[in-house]
Amino acid sequence: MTLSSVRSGDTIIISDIFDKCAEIKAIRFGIQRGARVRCIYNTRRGPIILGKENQEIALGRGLAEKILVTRERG
Amino acid sequence: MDCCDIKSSIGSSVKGKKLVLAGNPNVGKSIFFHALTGSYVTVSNYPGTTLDINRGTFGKYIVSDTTGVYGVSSFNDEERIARDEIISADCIVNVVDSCRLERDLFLTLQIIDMGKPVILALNMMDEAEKASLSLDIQRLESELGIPVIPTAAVHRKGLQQVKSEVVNARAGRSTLSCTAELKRLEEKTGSRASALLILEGDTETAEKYGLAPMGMRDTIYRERRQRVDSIVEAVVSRTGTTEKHLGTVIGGLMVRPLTGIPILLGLFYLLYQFIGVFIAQTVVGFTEGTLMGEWYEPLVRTGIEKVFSEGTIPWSYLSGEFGLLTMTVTYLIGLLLPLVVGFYFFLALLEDSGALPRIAVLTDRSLTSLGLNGKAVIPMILGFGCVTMATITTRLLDSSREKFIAVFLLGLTIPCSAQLGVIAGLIAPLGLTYFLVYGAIILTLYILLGTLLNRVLPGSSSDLFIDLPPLRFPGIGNVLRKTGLKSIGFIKEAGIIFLIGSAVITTLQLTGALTWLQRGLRPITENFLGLPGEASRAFLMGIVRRDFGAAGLYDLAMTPVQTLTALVVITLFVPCIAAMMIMIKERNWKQAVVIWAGSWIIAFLVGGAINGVTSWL
Repeated sequence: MTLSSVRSGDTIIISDIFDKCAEIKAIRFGIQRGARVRCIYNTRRGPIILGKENQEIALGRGLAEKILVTRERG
Repeated sequence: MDCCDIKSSIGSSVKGKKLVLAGNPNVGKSIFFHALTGSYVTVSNYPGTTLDINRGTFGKYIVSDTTGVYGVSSFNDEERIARDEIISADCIVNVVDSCRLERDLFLTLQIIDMGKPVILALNMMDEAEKASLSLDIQRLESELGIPVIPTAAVHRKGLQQVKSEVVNARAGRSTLSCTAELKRLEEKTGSRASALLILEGDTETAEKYGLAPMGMRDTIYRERRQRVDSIVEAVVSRTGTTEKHLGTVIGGLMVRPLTGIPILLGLFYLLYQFIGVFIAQTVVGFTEGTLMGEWYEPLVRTGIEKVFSEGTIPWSYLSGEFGLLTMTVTYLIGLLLPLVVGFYFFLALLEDSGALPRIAVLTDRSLTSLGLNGKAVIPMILGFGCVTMATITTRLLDSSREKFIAVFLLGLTIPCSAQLGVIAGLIAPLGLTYFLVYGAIILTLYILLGTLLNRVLPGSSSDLFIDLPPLRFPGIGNVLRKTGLKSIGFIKEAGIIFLIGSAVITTLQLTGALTWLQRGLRPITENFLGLPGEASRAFLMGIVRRDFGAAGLYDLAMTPVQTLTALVVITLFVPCIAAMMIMIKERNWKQAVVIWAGSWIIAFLVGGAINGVTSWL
């Protein structure tokens, strides 16, 4: 599923980032392919806020539609 | 091709050693800069870009404070400057946020991979303690191979130790696997730092040495990321749960639209009270009215008239209607400076408290339909202070396309504080309906033009991808310093431009071109817009000073509808001459002309439409 449809509170794993620039930024932030992150809040029609350790990162909806993730159960 | 060229273009002396402060945004680098160099900061413009670097001295070192970056590369101006500063540095003080090592250590490792001598200032240890994080400093030191000093700069802890450890800066432990390629490139270029960047695929560095960039960024970045993760795992441990405190709660409320939008509106109200009421009326009343009006100008006039008699050409330039030493200085110091300081102060409070990125999150959705993203909210807010100041701020936007859209909307639809006061004075007597109609027309045009530009311009704009720092109480010292630096920077940049603009207008006036323009404009003003002919003078005055334009309408006898038309036209009409010149500097000639011509056309078309619609009703 795309990052844009993740529910607030879910823990997800990033599978793919279809944006070259964003991919580089993601590696720097630590939310690259394979990383496990929390969805802190999905503003429904706006940005998605991810959490990794103590970081909070906001991604625009357009970008979130280009990122594939898998939801982690449990 | 000479790597020494970089050093000289950055202006470091041959004698002094170069110390560079590097780190992610919001880690407190400026406090370290202050601690190292004392109170004096020289702001120098980096050649070829529009960004400034702070420079100072610390003992025999020349210290450079770079803008916060998450990595070194050629992606944007900030990273380019950081790249050049770090490559040419003799030693580096890398400041990191101890609560976010998984992010901050990426730059640290990149600097270590570049082989530069560095020490690590592990800042915000006080916050780490509050967050129940425990850090194994010795382990971190042995992993990185460089001195690590725990600090809490905001409480002045650890600063002295950092100062004394600077001499012990050394190249750290790099564990990259591509050592063979790195060595080969290092032999060719003579600089390990440049070699690493070329290996990562940095085209600009490669060009400097006449080499082809290599494509190993992905591999190197992933290795580096893995190393950061394993170091963090070994060094950082949680000793308890992070308590939720007020900052976390408010921060959470701010990004949720239901609670965030009321908070945003509350902030706008505060802004209105602080700037619109306190500064624009009380402070400016003093600085422009008393200080400049009653003291400065009469003094200067008498002085000038001793040398040049009234009516002569030099007198006109210096002391005439748009006099360089009279009106221009009064405008700059009496009206603009207090407003600019007020806005930069408010902006610094929003930045340092962590509120600004959350405002960007709230406004991102609305801004994307205009081809912008949440970051653009900053120049938009500043536009209500001074469009010239806001245009300078569009530098922080990521793509050329976004910068053009932002500057276009700023130039056309956003009324600056100079105008707003006069507009409010003219529309208030007409009642609430007229005020709402005025607001609605301007807002509709803003949305319409933005959407249109977004559809028509080729390419795509960048998406929001920002870090949200924790919400905290802004340190007043830092806020004041930022305000001071930015305001002085603005006066330096815009001051010259205002002076040039005034000289140009005086020339137009003396050559009779101004009167000729007014006469040409009258028929359009009277017939198409349905306004008294004298309004054309007000429009032309608006080119020099936005408030002159609006004020010129005060003395005209106009019906409510005419007032509405005139105010809409003056709001949409060309940006003031200073804003135009900054536009040429920030964008280019072509774009500035498009915006200038566009605003003429749109202002008059809309004005004509209002006239047409209301006469028909």
